Amino acid sequence: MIKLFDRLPVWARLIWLSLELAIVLFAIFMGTKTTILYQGF
Amino acid sequence: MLNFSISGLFFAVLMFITPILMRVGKRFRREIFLLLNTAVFLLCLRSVPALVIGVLWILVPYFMAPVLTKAADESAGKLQHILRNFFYVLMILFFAYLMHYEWVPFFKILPYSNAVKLLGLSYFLFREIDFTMQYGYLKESGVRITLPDYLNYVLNFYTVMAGPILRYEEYVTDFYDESKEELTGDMILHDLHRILFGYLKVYVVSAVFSTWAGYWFERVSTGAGFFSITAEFLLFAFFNSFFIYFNFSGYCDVVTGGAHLSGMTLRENFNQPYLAVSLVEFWNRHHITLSEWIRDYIYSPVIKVLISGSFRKKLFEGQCIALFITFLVAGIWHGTNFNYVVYGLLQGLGIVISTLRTNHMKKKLGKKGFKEFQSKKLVRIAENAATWAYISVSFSFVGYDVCGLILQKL
Repeated sequence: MIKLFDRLPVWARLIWLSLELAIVLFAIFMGTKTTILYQGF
Repeated sequence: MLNFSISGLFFAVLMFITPILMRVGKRFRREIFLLLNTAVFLLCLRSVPALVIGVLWILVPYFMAPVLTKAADESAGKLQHILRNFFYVLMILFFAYLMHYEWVPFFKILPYSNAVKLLGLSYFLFREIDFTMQYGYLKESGVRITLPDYLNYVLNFYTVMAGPILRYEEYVTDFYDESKEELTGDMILHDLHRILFGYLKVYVVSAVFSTWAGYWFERVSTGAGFFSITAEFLLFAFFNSFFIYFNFSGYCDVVTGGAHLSGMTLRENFNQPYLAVSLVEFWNRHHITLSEWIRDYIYSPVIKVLISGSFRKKLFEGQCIALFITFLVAGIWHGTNFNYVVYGLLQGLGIVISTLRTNHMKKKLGKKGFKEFQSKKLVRIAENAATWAYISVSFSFVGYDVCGLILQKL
């Protein structure tokens, strides 16, 4: 995914980033309960 | 696994603010980083005793490092060697006390409060052991050693929660590397993508797998009938292993991208672990920096003791025992309840079986023959499936009370 992203033109990368941001924010606003799984503490 | 954390929003803000601060104030980037690391450390404390313990836990190894290095020298007396070992034993015992292992009855007698728990305790320990053990070498090699650099190394907020585990030399060399390319627009987009892709893995993909794992675990808890319970348990284990992978690798993507924007390079911690065809290979692909750390600081000393003692003429047996001990300790480190002991036992057992099998096959087929055998497509698929199944079942003890479930079913 990361290699494919790097090969795209700038405008496509910006759209991709916006989509990712939108999905992450949507998940947060929908109340995702998952946080980082700590290994030990 | 933890009941306290830096708020997700605060952490996300830090991810974007730190690069700006460190790049704008380039001349003072070490001091800015120290300020941010100290702020995160202080904000995660729960009480004044935790502050005292935390400060001591971080500073004592720094000031003890020259003494410990002297004591490790061949010219040092026996008493110095004993005192050096005693220091490390004390450190590990105090670590175990702070972790408060539920299954160790001794810790139940001692007074304890959750308020003394420190975020990043075990990752502090990893770095402190690396720093004190390598101090002599670092001095000899002329690696820059200052208190602010040491503090930034130990407190590094990008990696304090769950790695990747850096070595002091690696961290300092990278931090002051002036030959690095200037940050370009393409690099910024790449790093932003890495951060957002990481968040996507944590908040969306791993969240879905977590829900499915939770659903199937509940079905196992309430279900009946051996075959249906086994099938449901395997589904739970499968989804849980995916949850762990996406959650942890997503976190690593976030911090690797964030640190790179701030001018620091973190080591890659994952290399498609579920493509591994054996447990040994899996641990070379999953949480790579931890595998390397336990190799250097648990496996190596254990095997050294074993082969210089009763396993002098039984190298392979010594190797197997050292592997078992290493993975058992690593498993116990992962958490404080008995499930993690079982997890460690399963990992240790799996690694030993995997090593025995490889050894047996090499003897039977020869090195070349074994390589040819392993390169067959069907063999690779079968070995990959077996590794995956074993890892999934052993990972089911991480985060879920599978021991309690087994007792309930019995």
